[in-house]
Amino acid sequence: MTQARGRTVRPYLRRIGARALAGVGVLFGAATLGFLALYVLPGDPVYAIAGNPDQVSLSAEQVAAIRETYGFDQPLYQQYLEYLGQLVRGDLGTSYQRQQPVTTLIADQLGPTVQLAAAAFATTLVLAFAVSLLTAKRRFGRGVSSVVELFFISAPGFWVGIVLLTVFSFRLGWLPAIGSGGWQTLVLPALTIAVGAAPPLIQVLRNGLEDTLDEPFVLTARTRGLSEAAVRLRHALRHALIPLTTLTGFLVGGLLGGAVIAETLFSRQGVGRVLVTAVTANDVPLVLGLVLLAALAYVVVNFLVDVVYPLIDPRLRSEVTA
Amino acid sequence: MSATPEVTEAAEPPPAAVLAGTVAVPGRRWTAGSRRGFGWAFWVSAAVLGLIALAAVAPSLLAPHDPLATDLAAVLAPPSAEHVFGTDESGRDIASRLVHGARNAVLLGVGATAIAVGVGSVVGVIAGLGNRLLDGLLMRLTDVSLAFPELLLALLIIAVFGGGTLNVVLAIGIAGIPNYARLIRGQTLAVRRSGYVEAARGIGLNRRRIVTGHVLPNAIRPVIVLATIGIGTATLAGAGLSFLGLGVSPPTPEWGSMLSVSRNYLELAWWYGAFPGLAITALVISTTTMGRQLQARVEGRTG
Amino acid sequence: MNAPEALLDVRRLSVSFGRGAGDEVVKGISFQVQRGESVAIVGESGSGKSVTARTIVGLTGDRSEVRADGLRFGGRDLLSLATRDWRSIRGREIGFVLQDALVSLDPLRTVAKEIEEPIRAHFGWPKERRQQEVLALLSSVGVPEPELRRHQFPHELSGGLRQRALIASAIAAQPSFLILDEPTTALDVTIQAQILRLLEQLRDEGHTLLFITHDLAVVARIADRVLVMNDGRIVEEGPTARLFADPRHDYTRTLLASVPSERTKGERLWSWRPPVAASPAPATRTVVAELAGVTKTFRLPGGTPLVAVDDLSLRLESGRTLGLVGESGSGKTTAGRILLGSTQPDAGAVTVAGRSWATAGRREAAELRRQIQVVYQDPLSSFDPRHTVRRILTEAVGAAGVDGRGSRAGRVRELLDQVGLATTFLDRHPLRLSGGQRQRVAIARALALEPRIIVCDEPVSALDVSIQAQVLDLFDDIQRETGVALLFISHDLGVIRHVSDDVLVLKDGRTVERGPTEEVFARPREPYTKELLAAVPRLHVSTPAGRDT
Repeated sequence: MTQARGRTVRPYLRRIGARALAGVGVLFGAATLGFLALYVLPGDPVYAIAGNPDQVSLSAEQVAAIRETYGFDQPLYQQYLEYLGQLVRGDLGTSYQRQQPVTTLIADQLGPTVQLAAAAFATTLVLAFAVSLLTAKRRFGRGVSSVVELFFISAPGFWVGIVLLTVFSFRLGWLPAIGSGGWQTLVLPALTIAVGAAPPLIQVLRNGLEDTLDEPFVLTARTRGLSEAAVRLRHALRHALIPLTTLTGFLVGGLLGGAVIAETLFSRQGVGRVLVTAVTANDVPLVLGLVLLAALAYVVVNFLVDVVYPLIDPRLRSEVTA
Repeated sequence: MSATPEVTEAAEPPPAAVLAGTVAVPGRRWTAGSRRGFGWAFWVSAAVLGLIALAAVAPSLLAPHDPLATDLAAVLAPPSAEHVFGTDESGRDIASRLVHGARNAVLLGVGATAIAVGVGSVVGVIAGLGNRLLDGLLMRLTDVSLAFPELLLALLIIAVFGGGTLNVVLAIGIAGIPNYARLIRGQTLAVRRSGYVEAARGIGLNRRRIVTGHVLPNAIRPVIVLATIGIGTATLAGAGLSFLGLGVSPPTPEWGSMLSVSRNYLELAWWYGAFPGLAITALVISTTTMGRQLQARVEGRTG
Repeated sequence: MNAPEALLDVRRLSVSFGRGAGDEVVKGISFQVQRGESVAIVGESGSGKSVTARTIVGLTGDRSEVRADGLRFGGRDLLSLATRDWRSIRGREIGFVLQDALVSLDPLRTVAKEIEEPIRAHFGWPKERRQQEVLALLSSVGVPEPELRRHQFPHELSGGLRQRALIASAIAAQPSFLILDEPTTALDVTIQAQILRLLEQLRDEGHTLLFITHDLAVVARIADRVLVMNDGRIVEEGPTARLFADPRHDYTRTLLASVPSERTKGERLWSWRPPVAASPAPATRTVVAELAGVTKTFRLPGGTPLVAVDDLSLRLESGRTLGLVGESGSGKTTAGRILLGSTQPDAGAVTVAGRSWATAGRREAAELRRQIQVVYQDPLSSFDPRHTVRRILTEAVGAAGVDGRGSRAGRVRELLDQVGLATTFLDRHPLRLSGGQRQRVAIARALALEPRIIVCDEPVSALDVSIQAQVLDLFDDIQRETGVALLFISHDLGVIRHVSDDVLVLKDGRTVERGPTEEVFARPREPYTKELLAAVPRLHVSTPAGRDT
């Protein structure tokens, strides 16, 4: 038995190591793209800092001063190295518009967003598992559910939020329309995000379940006298989880994008609102900081999935498949 | 393209029918149509899209009123015979504004999808056909771009280049490229390694004829389906950006921004938000349905 | 009509999927199985044999409709069972073994978890006792080191051990009746022999067995009684020895005659048409392709080297067939690919039509490829999914240098005729063809190039025995007409013996034995060849003997 363990653990660790390295590589690439966005693509960043050149006229000295403050007078490669060095130290630069460290601005507003994303994530998973398990291979259930899913996939998330607001806040008065204090204010925003994010998950999970329920080993399990619930929970569900890996990117994007929309719609505090304000003001360092944070979230989530999946699928653990 | 890689090379995952960030979920069990012909859902969708296309081309044919004409006597009037979808806060006819907004919606959806699918396909095919170095380079670039959620990437592009209709189209289009590039590359590789390409080599066809006769046509075969479904996704992304105030500027009729403004009148006028929302939803449902049925048909024919 | 104590009593059973009588897959069959008996249902794909087996455990699926005048097991009326009652029978009274344990055991669960599942479902035993029972079960089905094996996953076990584990799980809740659906089909012949021995052991321990199989030879070895199914009906039923010695139904007779073996050598398997006249045999044998001392090593993911082919030499002569036989992993497919030039050998020389792949330039290689064609087990993946039969063949005819639309079309018709397909198939997609028809299209494409060599890699392994017989006859015709040299790769010793002039036995990439087919089969010199031949279950149709061994 120890022999078997030894055979499977080492490739697993190697795989994890490789994935961690790949994740770091992606972050490095993302930072580089970010640098390009920050320094190479836009016209003159000086005006993004000082304001629209149509409205603000700057003297040559003023321009030079700004250039020096932000290091624009340095050669490009030096700026790049400087920028990477800052990133490694956890310094995301200074906001053009608010003249404060980006890190501080983000840290102040991160809490409510994390709360919202977590609540939305939990709701999405509960919805996805419940609906897919209940409707897989059930003709009527999947028919009804498919129509509902198609609707929620196709409806703009914020419009769904507006409808929820109209019904539950204004008509029924059950939940608060705006604000970010207490669990009640989380319900509608989290639900708004979840009904948009869940349908693709439901469809992938259900297709996975249905494919698995057609497998010979499920027939074998049934011939052993297992109940339908046991077949679904003990055998099919685990297999259905495997294709979900393809959706991690979608899920992270859906939750974060959803948070931006939901925070705006429900007037909640959070980094999503900060982002929208920053975009409107062309505050590239702040936008970039937030986008890099999202990339970090994506890399971390993908890494965690990579760590967990071999535990679900032992075939990923061993070196050679027969 | 010499020897088919055997044990040494890890198998490429099959071209996933799931596009992260889009709704291209395998539709094989969904279809409301038979295997050979299209079902009613396809034709209803086609009719809806036809109507929207007509509105985009010749809005004055369909619109009962001038979309910009204000009527202070009829501010936020509920649906009636005169104003079938009611009026907005300036007394403008919502139905007419929806009709006139169609052009923008279509341009945005089609334009952004054309950029995303077009550039994505070219990059994907080049990566799939190219040597290891080129492929590696393009795919690492794709990996990096995929780490940015699409909406956020679009926001970054707008932050750099500024808002406005054209930039929104560009932003959504560019943000969508990596996904399509990755899909088409996977498809290209799968075709390159397929039995029929090996068979074509076996009967002595040269590389050029194999690439043009077998690899390319099969590699880009999913593009039409992806593009159809992609129009819906792009429309949604555009609506999202309009809602955040980054799209066209008022009073130009635009579905997303109408919805955005309607937020302020939720308690007074349900119709203000309801109809633009339904318009967007109908457009996206129709493209998604058509795409899935096309997909089911393609899969049904070729297994 | 039947003895009252029959364990299983099926009367006028019909099963249909969808609506209408045309959708019936089982059409009013009746049979009994007595306690302690070993009965086989034999049939080709689509005969309804597997559906019949599933009906007995109530698992035909949601869309099926089961009708019968009577369906009784152990004195209970199965037709009136509620879901809960069905569950109490499955696993506990009727055990079920499917083919290919790699997909019939849950790949995500350990062997122990799978084996103890019926115990958990039917007995309220504590964990300790369940674990003890799993160990005992593994030992009883002949799995060595059960303590180690039970913690492994199906993919970590060899094919034979996997199949044993699957059988262990089927008998875990101590059912007295076992249904075995193609229990040895995916296995190598030596493993198959071991599993058959295990099944004999179960029979001798008092289990009642119901086999579902397409393999007549397996039946001959293990069943007391045989039911032959065709198109949803039982066409013949009888004691094994009688049925094989004296088949009464036409279908049974053709089925038995279709099985390739030493007896069928040089004869037609299927068609009544006499073999085409052979082109006059050349005075001297011409060598058209040769492998000399060829070695190929692959590197597995993880770095372990795998010697796929080790110092292999062989020679193909025009008008003759070389049979390459071996179990899975013996390197026979790699050998074929090296000959085809799709895999580069690490060492050794490959000569095709007097030239070498290694020295051929791009243009010369393309020319060389036309000389040597290939037919695979599954031809479907070798057809562009967009193309019709017409386009597939036209492309090949064009590649062969036939110019002009009219002459191409004419050549395509000629080819279709040569492989026995009507021109109505021209506008069909291969997906819409049957397995045998697809294989004919693949053969026609190969012939389009007028090759001197055809590599046939398991070309009939996926086909039913009657279709297999027709395709083998076709190869025979083609060789007589065109004098093409065939490299025939197969795991099936009966097929190899039927088609080959010479044979080469491979094991783990090494050549074990070679020689004229009859010599090797009749007087094998090497222990491995002897073991291989001994493992093959045989049909002794001509001799009215008792149960064959």
